Amino acid sequence: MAMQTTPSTRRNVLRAAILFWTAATLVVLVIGFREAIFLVPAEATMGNLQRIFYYHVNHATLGLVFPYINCFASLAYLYWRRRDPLKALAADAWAVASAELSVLYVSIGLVTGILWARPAWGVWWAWDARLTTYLLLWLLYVAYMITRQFSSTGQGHTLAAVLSIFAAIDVPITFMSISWWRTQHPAPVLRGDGKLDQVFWPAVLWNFAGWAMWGALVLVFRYALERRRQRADQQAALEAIEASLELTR
Amino acid sequence: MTWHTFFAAFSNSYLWYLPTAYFLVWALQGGYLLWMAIQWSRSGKAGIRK
Repeated sequence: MAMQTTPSTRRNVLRAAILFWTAATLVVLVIGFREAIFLVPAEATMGNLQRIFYYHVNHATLGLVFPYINCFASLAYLYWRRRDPLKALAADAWAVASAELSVLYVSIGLVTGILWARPAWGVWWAWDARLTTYLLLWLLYVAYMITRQFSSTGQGHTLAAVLSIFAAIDVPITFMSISWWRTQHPAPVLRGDGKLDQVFWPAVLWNFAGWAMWGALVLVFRYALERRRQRADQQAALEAIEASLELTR
Repeated sequence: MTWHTFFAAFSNSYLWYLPTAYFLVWALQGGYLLWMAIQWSRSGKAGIRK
């Protein structure tokens, strides 16, 4: 016999799941921090400074994942916008949520990278292929957000969706740049010949899991916030129509 | 590393980048979450229909 679920039951289950996920995320982040700062040994060449790596690499990598969520959501938006506007709105909410997460994670990847570069290379920035394509990705998402925010014609969301396709094309180029070209940025350390020593992996993996879980949590929260805004806009539009009908009577 | 050396790194000309990077990450991530929480509570007060 199938059990019937009421909206309030579903809401309670959802609330419990979010609380559990939040608690698990915080625990994993604390373990990750402990591994990165206190437990794994200092690296032979750079010493303690190398510990920046444990926050830099996961944010920089996740900054290449959220653009794909954004691209799929944007493609769904472009597909549904004339066929099914309600589905298009949901896709658009996922698009804006993942775009903001892309800006956040890529910004952190850039900032922590800059703070690594200065003591390691002696310069804050190098115009090599990795850094340049990564900066381009950040600029594309800033353009995406500005297009959405300041377009007054109603075409902003569509134009931004097209921009997200360009961003998605930049992602594999950024990812492969350290293999395709000689760069100031280190060659792959999680794969290939210069692979990181086993002793450092717990710090890498715990922090990767923690910041990925955090990203998923924030993504869902931002999506829910956008859906709230959309419902408010719909309601305001309905009320405006009702008011104008009252006037014509 | 210990808590002491982590915080002491702020006054080290070579190591200050490490705690700065960690605090910046927490500030940016926490700041974004806080901004969303404020937006959420404001949208609730504005009487959003479910």
